[in-house]
Amino acid sequence: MLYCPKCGTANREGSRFCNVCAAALAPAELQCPMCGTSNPQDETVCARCGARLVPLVSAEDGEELGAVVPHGRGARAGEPAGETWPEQDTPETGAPPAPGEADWLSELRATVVEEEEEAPAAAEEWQPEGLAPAPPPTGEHVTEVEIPSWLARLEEEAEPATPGRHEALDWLRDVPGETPSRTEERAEAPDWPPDSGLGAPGRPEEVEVPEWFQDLEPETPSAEPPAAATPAQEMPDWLRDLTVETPPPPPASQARSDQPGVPDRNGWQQAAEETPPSPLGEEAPAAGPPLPTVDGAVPIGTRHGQEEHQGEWPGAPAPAAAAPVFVPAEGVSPPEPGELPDWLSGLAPREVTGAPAPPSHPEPLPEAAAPPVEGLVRAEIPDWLEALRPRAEADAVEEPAETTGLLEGLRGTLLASPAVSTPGPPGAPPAIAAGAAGVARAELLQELLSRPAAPVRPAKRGARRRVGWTIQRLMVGLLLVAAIVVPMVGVWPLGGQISQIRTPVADEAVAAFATVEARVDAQSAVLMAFEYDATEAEEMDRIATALLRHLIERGARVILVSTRPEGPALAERLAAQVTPSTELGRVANLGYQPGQATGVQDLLVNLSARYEYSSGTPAANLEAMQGITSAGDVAAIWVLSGQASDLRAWVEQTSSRYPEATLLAGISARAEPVGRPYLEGSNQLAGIVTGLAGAAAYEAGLAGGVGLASFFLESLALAHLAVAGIMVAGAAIFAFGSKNR
Amino acid sequence: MDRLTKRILPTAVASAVALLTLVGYLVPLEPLVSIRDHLVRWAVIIASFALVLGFLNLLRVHSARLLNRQKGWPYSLALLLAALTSFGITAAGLLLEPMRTFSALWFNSVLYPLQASAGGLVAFVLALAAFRLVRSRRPSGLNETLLLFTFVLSALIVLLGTAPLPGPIGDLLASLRQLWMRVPALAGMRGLLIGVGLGTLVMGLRVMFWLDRPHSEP
Repeated sequence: MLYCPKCGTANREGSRFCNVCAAALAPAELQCPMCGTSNPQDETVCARCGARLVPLVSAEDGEELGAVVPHGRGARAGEPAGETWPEQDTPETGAPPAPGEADWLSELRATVVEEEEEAPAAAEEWQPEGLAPAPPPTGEHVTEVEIPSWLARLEEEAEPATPGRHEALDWLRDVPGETPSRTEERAEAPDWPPDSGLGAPGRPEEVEVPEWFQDLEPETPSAEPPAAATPAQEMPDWLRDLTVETPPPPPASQARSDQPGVPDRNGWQQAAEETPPSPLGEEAPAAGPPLPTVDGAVPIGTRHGQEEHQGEWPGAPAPAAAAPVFVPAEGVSPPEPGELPDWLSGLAPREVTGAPAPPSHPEPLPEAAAPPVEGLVRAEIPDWLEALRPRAEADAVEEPAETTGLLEGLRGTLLASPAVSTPGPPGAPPAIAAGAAGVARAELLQELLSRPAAPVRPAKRGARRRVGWTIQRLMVGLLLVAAIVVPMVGVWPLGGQISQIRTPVADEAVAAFATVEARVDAQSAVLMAFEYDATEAEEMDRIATALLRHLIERGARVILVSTRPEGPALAERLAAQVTPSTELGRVANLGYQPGQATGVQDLLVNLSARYEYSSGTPAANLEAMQGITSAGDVAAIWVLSGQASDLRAWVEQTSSRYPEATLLAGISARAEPVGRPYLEGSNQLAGIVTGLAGAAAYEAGLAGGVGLASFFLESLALAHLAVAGIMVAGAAIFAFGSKNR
Repeated sequence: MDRLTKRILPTAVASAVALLTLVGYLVPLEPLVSIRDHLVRWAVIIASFALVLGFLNLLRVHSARLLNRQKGWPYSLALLLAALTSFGITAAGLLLEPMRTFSALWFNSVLYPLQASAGGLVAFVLALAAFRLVRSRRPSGLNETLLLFTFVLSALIVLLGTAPLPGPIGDLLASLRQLWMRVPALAGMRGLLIGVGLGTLVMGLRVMFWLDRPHSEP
């Protein structure tokens, strides 16, 4: 047990402040109730947020009301515990009423003193620690405080209040206060800061209450009903009207049941003392549903080391001044319970008057409601100002209450309405001044819209188009097939004559034939590059076959190479068809060389380092490769290319590496434009055989006679004519056909 | 480190190899010529490896399309089957003597006809496109009109001149074709070849002097 050094009261272990006199039992720091910052004891304002560390407390026993300064601020042993602030104009506590002071003020003071004497030790549970009003200090510890001038004037004007009980209006009962009936039921007082004077309800005589505030302290409900108003001191009319008798307070158990809408102060406080609510106030005022409790929350004002006392609410604070009880002035009949002056009835809560809730926009006050005042003439309100008078809305919509969250039950909260107001319903369209032309156009538009919709025939149109295109494709295909097949079956009237016709292409092929005749003999070797694939094989095979036949007839050795993957297979196929079985040794297929242009360079330089395509025999061991190491050792180089890129690579690499080599090209008709500059411009090609026409002209000079090139040339000519005719027909259809496309 | 391996190193290698190869061609000194030849062979090896990578990537892409049942997955299945079958048969024919005949048969009877048919369709498609072009398209301006007229005229001259037709008309058409090929076509093609050559030269110089980095990440 810890004994207070000042009053000697026994306190619990761990208490830092005396439960009676709030003296410090041990030095401790002040924890700010707002931000929780620890501050020195002698501080009254938090150093971090500026909140008061020491709340104001009410006076006791007629003492002045002042702030309770913790021990340390100039206070030494033996000095008064509650030193008031020098800057505060707190009235002197404990002093007799000043002359001219209103009786009602003095009676309030006396009432407060009585209540504080009987006030229980427990603090109000709703008040967090450190903020609960301190018990009224004793008179001997309170220094005189200067009464402000405005209050002194009131005291002079006020009539002495009648002794006895002052009845407060019902709605004034909301003013927090304590009743003597709750004395024994108060919880344990908190460990208030030292010398703060707080939380010592058991020693109300030590709490300083300013003199002026003492007058405001109401009588306890259990006190005698207030007597009639004493005549005495002057009281303004408005204040006189406030003096009404207060009915005896109902029991605590009926505090809330009697008048569901009336906030019963006494019953509320008593109920608060009975059950310690959560910091957020489980026991909310009667007007609303109970607020949720935050589990594990530390009550505001809890000091360090006192978390174990979280569930224990501090003791009831010093009994605060009870609600002022007003006694009607002499000669003035107090209003009936619930009856209020007109001007006050509009302000009073609904629960007090029992009348229906005033509308949000009350009716304009009738002129008769304004009490006539002598010497004043009622002003004439202009019309524009009269229009601004708030009107009652008949269909005032009560705002919905929140249903979830912390604001559950409250009304008037911020609605989840869109920030941007939605546009209202469209009104009547503005009148448009349209002229005669506009009216005519409008009538025309209306007539067009009123016409029945014309039937749409999209499917039929699409089907027709598809059929048209299908017919065209069929016609073109059939024409081409006919052009190819007819000469083959011998129906073509010009059969056999086409191949005899000399064209420039045929002349070039003949010239190439002569070059080979001059350069290639039986002992020479010819390098032949197969640079085409199977898609071009039908045309290029005719050229390759003619050239290969010529070389075989000449007795030359043929070296087959390719920079395309299909090249070796195509070359081997043709070689097997053309070369007699007894002369297969004169043909060497050296396979595929990757790298395109780079591969050509490697081929030209390292012919002997290769291997035979099918057998894998080293090229140096082949009969056709005897004496051949590079492209410079061959008599001629034939490039069979279906595309321009391959021809260009061979021409450029060969010309740069072996400028004296005889380079001939067998190309397709579509590569002719690329090969012709090398033939007629730079003379890098010694000869050229172009397409089927050139192949047909080349093989015409062979000893074996014409081959497939001449056979297919007939079909080629007819197909050319067919395609030309198709194009002419299309142009004619376009020129002379329908214009609706 | 990432910047070194993805940007600096590839560019440095490409530039160094290009410079050495170019100098080896321009300066016929033995060390440079030998280095040049080695670099050319390395390029051939890399090109062959790139062919294998391309084939594997083809399998990977179409396998993913097949497994995920993406649009066109039946065609991917057909492609995978044809590619794997052709690869297997060709490799077997190269490695195994008894399979060589079957490999040649596979090429001559399956691959060759299929590719030749695809090439034949090109002629049909070109003919049909030419027909639709002259039939449907309405020139929107003078340039487009001239282009269309030039196309039609060139096509007719080349087609009719290439097919050897008897009689004077045939000779005339053949002469027109020769003139057409030797003058405007040759001039145009020469211009293209010169442009291609210059572009290749400039591109090579840009790679050599780090002005362009196609081998590294941006």
